[in-house]
Amino acid sequence: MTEGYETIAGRMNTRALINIRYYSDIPFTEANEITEWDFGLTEAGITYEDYPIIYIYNDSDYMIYNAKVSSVWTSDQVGSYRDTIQQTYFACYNNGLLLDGTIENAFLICGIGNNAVGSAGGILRGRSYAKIAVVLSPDESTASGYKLWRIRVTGNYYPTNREAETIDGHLHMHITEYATVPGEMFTAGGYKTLSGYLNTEAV
Amino acid sequence: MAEPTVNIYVETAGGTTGYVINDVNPNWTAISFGTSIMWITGPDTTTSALDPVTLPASSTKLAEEIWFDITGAVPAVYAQCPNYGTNTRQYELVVTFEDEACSARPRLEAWDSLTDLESLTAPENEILVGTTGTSSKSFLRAYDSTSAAPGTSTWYDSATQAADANNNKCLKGNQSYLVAQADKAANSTWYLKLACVVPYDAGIGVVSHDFVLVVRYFWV
Repeated sequence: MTEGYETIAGRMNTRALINIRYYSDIPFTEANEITEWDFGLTEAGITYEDYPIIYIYNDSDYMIYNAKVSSVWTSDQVGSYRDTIQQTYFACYNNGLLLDGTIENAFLICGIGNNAVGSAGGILRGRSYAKIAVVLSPDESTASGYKLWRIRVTGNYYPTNREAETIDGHLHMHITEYATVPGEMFTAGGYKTLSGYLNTEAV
Repeated sequence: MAEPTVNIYVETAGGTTGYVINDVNPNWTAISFGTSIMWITGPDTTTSALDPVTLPASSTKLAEEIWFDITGAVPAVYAQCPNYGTNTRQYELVVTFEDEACSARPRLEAWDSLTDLESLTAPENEILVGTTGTSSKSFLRAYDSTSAAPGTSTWYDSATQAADANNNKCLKGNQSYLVAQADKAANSTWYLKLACVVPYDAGIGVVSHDFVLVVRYFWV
């Protein structure tokens, strides 16, 4: 008996679960307004995955001018969780501007150290996506516990789709997805990153 | 007896009509062995853009869709198999054995690559070896629907991973494959249902999610 075979190549692409429709309903009534999302207690034991990233969607009619995005571990914690934020990236594809112009003048500021505030700045145009990567310092421990984590957005509002004097809207910032950072953002693997199950109040 | 001519077609119309050899089959699209690529995708795939499968929060889920890049053209044009997964539709893929009979029942196998197939190297890709979330069973499941569609909507959850002739199998190299449930005479058809079970702990992206689907057939 003779045997033969025929083949078809197959492939699957996957992405992480997080698709949080979370927004701040704080009205932007004056410059330098602050909006902040407190994710509450975030579970420890975050897994090592290469290059995850959080997408933030500015679904408002406002552009955030001189935006500054911070990610903060507070000192509050449960258990002996010792991770700290090492760096926060304001991520842009191609190490620069998005080709579709949804972010302009983005740049990087990195905070390093225990309870560091990693921050990044730029301009978030109204109805645009920004991408933030939070890179945590490797934790050699196997400690379990929880720690408070938050993202804070500050900046000057700037109306884009309305008249300047119309300032009655809200800044809706959606964290929409948890996906993959472009590989060129980093030079080495082994980042400890948020991997889901953020304790949020979804819309 | 000589080698049968083996072809494979995918149902791209969501219809309920089987494939008839040497006839016009408007619902069925020919797949090119070695050229076409099968994509397991999320629900928002279009003919020009693939949508990744979003992982479930816990347990497992059925990947929403499968699409085929039929010709390998650039840019790719994808064709969906609407009957994928569901137990309410019998016709998804069909393998035809034309002119000659098979001397033994054919098999549907899955391997990491053509190289591993030829060397009989056991699969290592996550999609075929599984994760904790799938109890270390292959994500890929197959069912011989030649006589009927599966009996339950979650038929793929009961697929077994072993070297036996049961219908409804996890596909993993030569450790677990689907054997046709009946002999294949000359000019016969073999209908196949596929499912891809995606666990919460699957890796993100395409890494370790490649596979080669193999129709192995026999003649004298």
